Amino acid sequence: MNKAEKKFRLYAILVIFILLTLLLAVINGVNFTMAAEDADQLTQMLADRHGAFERRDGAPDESQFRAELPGNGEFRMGPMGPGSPEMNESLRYFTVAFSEKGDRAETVSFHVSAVTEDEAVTWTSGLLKQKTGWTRGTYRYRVYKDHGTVFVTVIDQGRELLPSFRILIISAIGEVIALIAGWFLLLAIGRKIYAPLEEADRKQKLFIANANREFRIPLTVIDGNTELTERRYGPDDQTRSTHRQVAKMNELVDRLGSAGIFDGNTARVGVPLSEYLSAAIDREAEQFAARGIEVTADISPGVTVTADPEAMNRLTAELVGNAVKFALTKASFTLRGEKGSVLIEAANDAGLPDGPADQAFDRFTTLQNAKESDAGLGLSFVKETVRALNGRASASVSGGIFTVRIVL
Amino acid sequence: MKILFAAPDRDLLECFRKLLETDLGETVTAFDGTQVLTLLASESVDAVILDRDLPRVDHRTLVSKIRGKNIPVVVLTDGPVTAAMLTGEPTANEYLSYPFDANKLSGVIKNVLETASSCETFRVGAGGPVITRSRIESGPGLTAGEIRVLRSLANGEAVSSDDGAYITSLNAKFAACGSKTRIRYRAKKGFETVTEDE
Repeated sequence: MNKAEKKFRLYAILVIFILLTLLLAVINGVNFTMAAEDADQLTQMLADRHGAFERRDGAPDESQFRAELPGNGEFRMGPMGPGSPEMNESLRYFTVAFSEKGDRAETVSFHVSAVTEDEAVTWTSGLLKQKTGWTRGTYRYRVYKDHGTVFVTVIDQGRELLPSFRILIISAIGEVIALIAGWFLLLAIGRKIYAPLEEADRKQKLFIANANREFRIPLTVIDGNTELTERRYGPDDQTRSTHRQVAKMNELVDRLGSAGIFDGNTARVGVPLSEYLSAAIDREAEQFAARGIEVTADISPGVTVTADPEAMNRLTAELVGNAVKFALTKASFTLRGEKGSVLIEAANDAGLPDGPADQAFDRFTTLQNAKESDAGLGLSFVKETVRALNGRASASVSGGIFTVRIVL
Repeated sequence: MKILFAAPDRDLLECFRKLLETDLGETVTAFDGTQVLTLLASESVDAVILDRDLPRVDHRTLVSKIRGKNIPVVVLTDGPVTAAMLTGEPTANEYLSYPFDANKLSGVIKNVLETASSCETFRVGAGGPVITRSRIESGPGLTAGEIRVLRSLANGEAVSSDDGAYITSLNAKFAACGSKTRIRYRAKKGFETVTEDE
């Protein structure tokens, strides 16, 4: 699985998680809010009756509810909810009346089994300064005054809230199941989406590898025939020019085919990276000076990496060479070895717009204004080398400074 | 000296036939594996240069047959020379990547001819282990490049990291024959041989 596919899958599952969580939060939130509204309606009905429904033997008296219901006095939810004729029978509640100072208490009604009357008085005495709300989890209370008496009505909504809690738990389990199913679905979809991209990438690499191979024999023949001509007629400007151009092409072909050195068969040894980078900067010191580029280097001594020495030698040379070609007035190099990882930064002023610049790692791509012709292969080699070492390479422009950042 | 040069590109064959005849001696050419086998049966040659992608007969079969006749063989490859090539069997006496020039090819042939008959013993490192060619050749054999690297190490000469494939293949061959000798890179010293206990 490639990096892009992994990213796609992680982002997609994150989006699914956020959407599902929002959806379920809204459903559960609305459900709970409606339950609270129902409870408030009931406590209000009790408040209007001084804390107790009128009870009588036999069938419930529907008329005591009908007049207060919205519309034509129809039951809102049939046998359920605050408008239900069964409410009188099914509601678990109690009301305690307190003197205005709160020093005397009297139980007005008591239709609940989970608490004793003494407990109810003690409990409600702590709610006198409140208005309405939830207490002890599933009890809804309302505090109201009437003729100098403070009433506290408490109703038990545990049975009504149970479905809400069940929905909450089912929602959470459902979300986990949906995320697992989504992950496998994304796995299948991701493969379908990325298979053509991977194939295109594979074909591009194959094309470059084939083109690289196809160049090699013709270049050998051109150089060989030029050599034959020189041996027969002696060297002249034309044959020397042909040798030079062939040498350039050979170098290009070698750089293009550099992927071959990452086949795992190269020497992997401790490479003194600090020395390599310092040496690469020293080699180009004259070029930097000739071009008026001010160079700063902050290189921690003794930093090593386990890698192919030739590849690391070339990596440092490519980073420094890139600065020689593209820096306008200044270039800087940083090397740090911390906590088992190595950080390399190569920066130069480039006159480019700010933003990510990872396309600089693409083959045959030149982002900056080179002072000489450039094949656009140097940083692609850097990226390939870093990738082979399981490191990360990124490029960006900030404040007009082009920076290549490598973590190994 | 007589050289057999086999490659699928006729321009390449013709060009290098002329160059090699000037530099080394008589050169016969073949453009597929069947022709190579026919020429090997009918002609007496001192060395063979063989393209890795020669048609009709697989290059490994050809290398095996050529080395069976005790004739040194150089394999030309259009990719980089890798340790996998150097440690695989049958191994040619040397591998050379396209593109190359006449001087380089002639130099490789001379080196191969010289090392093929060599029976030298290498002491790698001052007081270090002695490696005989036969001890290492119990496996797939040593290429001319590997011998060159061993010679440089034994003589205390610098070995270039360009020879990474040879270094890796030598380490693999050391391990295969039970030797504790390894080639390692040391800061400021370059490549050198060490025993694993060091």
